[in-house]
Amino acid sequence: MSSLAIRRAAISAYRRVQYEVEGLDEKRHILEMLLDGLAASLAGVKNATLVNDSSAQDLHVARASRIVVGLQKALDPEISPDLARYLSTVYRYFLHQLNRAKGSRAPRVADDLLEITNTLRKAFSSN
Amino acid sequence: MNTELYKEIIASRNLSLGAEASGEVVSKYSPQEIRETISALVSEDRQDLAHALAEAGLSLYPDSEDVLAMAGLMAMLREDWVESAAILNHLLEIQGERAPLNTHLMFIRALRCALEPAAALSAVMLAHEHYPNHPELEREFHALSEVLGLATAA
Repeated sequence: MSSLAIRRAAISAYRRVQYEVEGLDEKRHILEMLLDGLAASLAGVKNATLVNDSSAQDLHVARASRIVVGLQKALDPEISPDLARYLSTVYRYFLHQLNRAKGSRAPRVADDLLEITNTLRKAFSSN
Repeated sequence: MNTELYKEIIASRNLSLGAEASGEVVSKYSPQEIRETISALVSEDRQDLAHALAEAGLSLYPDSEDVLAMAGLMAMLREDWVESAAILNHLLEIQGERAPLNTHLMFIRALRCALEPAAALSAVMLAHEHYPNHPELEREFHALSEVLGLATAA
């Protein structure tokens, strides 16, 4: 799936959250914490690359991947099947991209994912 | 890369991106709130989610005692002794002189379980400086000395 398609999926998820967040209320703070942590780890990937610290880069990529796996497990199709489907697509894209985030390619991947993460963060926190 | 579509939506809602200009990411949740949420998830037996949240906590607050203590415990729960030892080592660095006995004991046990008895014995010696003659440290000292084949007084 293309980056543009993923962005469209993220925006669809964003719109869904506007309407369906009531059912997500119990979980929302957990999702917000996970997304905040994901943004921090992606920023860490970029910073590690800037200072040429490959082990820190690997650490942040691994940490981001584990957070995304947690976000996948937090999906609940019973609350909102459409939202779960959209977000599942987004998270799969994240894991695919993180798997490719090595060396000089890492900052570009991190930037791309950070933008999508911030879209999702705002979707959850603005309700 | 076409980012116009979602940028338009963000702009229309007058939203700013969460990452600050410096690259720091700010969360409205405190380390204590993250620790309490991890604890609640563990009590609900949602270990996978608790693990992910511990990782999120470490990303947001890498030097928080609350987060480090909980993340170290989470790593122990899933028997990831190397990760646990690394986290607890950092926690001990942060706590310094005021590190509680429990942090020392968790660190020693993580090292022992990571099959690093010599490092664990060094950790016992360090803990002994702050908590001299504590019975649990004495037990660890004798057990580790035996593993390493060192003679100790009974």
